[in-house]
Amino acid sequence: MDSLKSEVAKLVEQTCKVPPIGPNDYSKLLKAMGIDSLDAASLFLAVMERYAVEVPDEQIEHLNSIDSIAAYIEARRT
Amino acid sequence: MIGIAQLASYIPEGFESNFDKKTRFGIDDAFIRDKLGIDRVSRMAAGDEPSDLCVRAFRALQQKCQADIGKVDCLVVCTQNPDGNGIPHTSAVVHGKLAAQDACAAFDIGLGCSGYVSALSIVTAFMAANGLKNGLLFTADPYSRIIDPSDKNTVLLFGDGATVTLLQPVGAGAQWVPTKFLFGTRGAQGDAINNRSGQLQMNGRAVFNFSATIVPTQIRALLEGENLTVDKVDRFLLHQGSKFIIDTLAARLGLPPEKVPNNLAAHGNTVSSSIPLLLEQVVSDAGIQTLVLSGFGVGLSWASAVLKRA
Repeated sequence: MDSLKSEVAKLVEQTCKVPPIGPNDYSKLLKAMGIDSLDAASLFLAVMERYAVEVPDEQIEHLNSIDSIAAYIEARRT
Repeated sequence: MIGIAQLASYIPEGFESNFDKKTRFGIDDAFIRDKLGIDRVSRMAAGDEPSDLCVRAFRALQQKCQADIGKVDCLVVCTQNPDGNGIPHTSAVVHGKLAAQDACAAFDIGLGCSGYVSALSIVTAFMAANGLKNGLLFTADPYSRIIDPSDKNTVLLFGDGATVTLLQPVGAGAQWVPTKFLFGTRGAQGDAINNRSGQLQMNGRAVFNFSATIVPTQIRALLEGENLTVDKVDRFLLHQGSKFIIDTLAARLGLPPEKVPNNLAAHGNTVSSSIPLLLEQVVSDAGIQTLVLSGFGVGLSWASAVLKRA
């Protein structure tokens, strides 16, 4: 799970162009990292493409940190 | 073969500044400039109809070239916001306002952001099939009529405008010819942009996902089919949805930024007018020989084309 969180953090850095994210930031809200709604759309597309998981609109509000995104992926990926 | 002889446009003087909406929508200057890329959205005057925007675009065309309305034998308007409720068709209204001759086909094409590319194929093929010599292809889709002013998803993006493209045979005016078109539709996802309630509704995330995945695939297929590579294309004229989607598409296709112009800042996303507005800026540049156009949006639908200097 830790390596998945690290992967997601890298994905966030790349797609949202934010400064390097450390483990202490994994529980931080994406919004607090300066990630707006457009960045989030780009991030969730990257998550869907990389991990082959669906991310329905109704899930988006719950996927608001690296912790929650990694947990969502872990529960669904094959 | 029929091609593009000249283009002209009309952008209304009225506008709404997105900087005046920062507090209402909780956005800042960086979001407006770096993500939307839209400082302000143009707004047609109260009392104007889409046909009035078309007429003004035609007057601008007459300033550029000897466009003789008496010789126009094909007049098409691409819009989903027609005059009145669509009867009579806006192209017939424009025909009447310009006092065009009776021997002139006039019809509307009901497409949104993919409309210009599809309409270019339809009208050039229609003219060639019927021996027509002087076509006018208008785009005018003033979304201000259907926008909910409280909807952040749309009111910051869409601006009003109109364009006209003069289409003539090669050897009789055409400067640019389309060499290949590709089209796509995904009607099952059409709800992502709809006007069912009388006001525009857009699922921005669904439209982003669609655009970011489908459009690069089609453009790659277009290039491959035409034996083109990115370095052989002078400009990629992408539908001006927002700076964010243009930047995303350029990055996913590996396009150099200088080949992907945007002109959103002063008027916003003008729907089917966005590509011809870009085209108008580049067609007279002698250094430009090959263009790729790609429109995408309502439908959901998408269409791309290669244009080459005649």
